[in-house]
Amino acid sequence: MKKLLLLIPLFLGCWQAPALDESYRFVNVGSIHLQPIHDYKHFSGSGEIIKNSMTHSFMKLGYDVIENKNDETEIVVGEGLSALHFTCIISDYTDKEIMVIPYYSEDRGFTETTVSQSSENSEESSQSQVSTSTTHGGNVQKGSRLEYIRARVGLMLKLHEPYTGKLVWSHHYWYSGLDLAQTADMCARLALHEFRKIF
Amino acid sequence: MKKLLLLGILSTWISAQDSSLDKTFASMNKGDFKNALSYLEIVINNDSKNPELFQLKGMLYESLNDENNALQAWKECKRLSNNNSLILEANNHIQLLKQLK
Repeated sequence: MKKLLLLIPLFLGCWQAPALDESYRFVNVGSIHLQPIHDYKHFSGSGEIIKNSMTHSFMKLGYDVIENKNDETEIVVGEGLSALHFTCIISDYTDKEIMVIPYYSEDRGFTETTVSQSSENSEESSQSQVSTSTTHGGNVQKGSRLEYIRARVGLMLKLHEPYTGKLVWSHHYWYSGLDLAQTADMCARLALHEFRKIF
Repeated sequence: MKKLLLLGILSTWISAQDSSLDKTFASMNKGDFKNALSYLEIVINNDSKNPELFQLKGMLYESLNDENNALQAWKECKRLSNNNSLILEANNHIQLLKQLK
């Protein structure tokens, strides 16, 4: 039972990892062909934005990117002869996700000290001082909440063989941020982070 | 009289926190993420175990392209959270920010 409990955090830490056909020899792949990316519903141009972010990121990482006249994009990833098709579906593309943060204000309590002082003008000029301390306990109470709007971009990615249709790699994730353009760019970059592990 | 005074101090203190929240939100709306962060720090000082505040802090730092501080904020968010969705989100950010470093 203890071993099982130890395994749970490990599972939670890895559950977003891509699915991979481990028997597939990625070293034989020379290029991947990025298929046209369709717009997210009611968000005209989102497909093109994601595609451009991806090709830009591939270039920044040093891969050769070839865009031909048929709106196909080829990315050279190695010296192998085989090619893979890369499809991307935008599963989320919004700049209007409302986030609510419940905010708890903590009254940490306080200590009140009362000092009473008296002096008498006598021959010995005596002074007396009385100090009283009272501690007031604090409490935690729900104070307020903060609402803000953020952007969220989700992608479903697949790599498959064009002739057999065999799926060799698949990943689904989303990314968040305060600015839609930046979030889309970061989301595309995250895909490349996973790509570098197989090519 | 004393109680009234204490109540006054306490309500001023709570409204100061609310004011910081308002100012965080107002600065974010204006796109002034640097100022929003400084107000958010005041809020975090009084609610330091709230993962959602660190989530916001991480995103604010990312918007300012401050990867190091963003990474710290997301790590803290992940540490404090017991919400799987938020942990997953934090993992994605941590993974990418480590790559960018």
